[in-house]
Amino acid sequence: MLKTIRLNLTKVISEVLETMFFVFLEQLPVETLPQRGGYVGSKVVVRGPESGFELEMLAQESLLTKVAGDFLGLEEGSPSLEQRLDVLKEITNMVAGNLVNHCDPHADFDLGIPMLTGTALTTAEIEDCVDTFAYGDEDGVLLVGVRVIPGKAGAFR
Amino acid sequence: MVLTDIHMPGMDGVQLLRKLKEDPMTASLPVIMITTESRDEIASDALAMGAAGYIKKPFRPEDIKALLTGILGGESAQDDSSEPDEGDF
Repeated sequence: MLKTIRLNLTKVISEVLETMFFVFLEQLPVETLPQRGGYVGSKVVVRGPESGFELEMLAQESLLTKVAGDFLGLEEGSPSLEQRLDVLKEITNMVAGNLVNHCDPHADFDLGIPMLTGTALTTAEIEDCVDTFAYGDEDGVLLVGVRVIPGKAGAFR
Repeated sequence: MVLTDIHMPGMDGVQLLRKLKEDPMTASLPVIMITTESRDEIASDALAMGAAGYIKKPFRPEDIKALLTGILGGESAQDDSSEPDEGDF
């Protein structure tokens, strides 16, 4: 599963962000990103037939504000914190759901409800992930971390 | 018309669809299900329960427009004798 996630995550991120959010992010080398704060995070647990994974997304406030404002069609003012958090959870849901479809479109997966992990987070939040991916544009950075949930703990049956 | 995500906290979209279809006041409302999952059985289950349509995220604006046009067009074809009330689509 991890191999499939590694192979497909960037494609899924592009499909979701470009199709529904009109955002075009480039993949960035994670190792060159400075340790810094100002991130908002959400995560979702996906349980599969034999194991599962947790997908955590950290978005820089500046990027999330731009994406949320565009997505909600706000012509004036900035999206509220609640609106920004809802948009981040929606992105997390869509990325995880589409990733699962790439893993095995015929297998049963249990896609959890996205949860907010916090505001004013730092990159340390996802340092324990087995894989971390970074994407960004001039408005900011989106970090995506993957944690594998092995065996029965990650299986939903 | 109701557009609902299948994947929601508390009451999911399938439960909402069931409740809407069970209530005579809302049973005739067209319900469109929105989801990230592509499994065919989810779509066929929703349609079997009375959903008017199904769309997978991410979708383009023209995709949802085509779906809505098809459903609204179908409705007006079935009920073109009545004058629309003020406030109707």
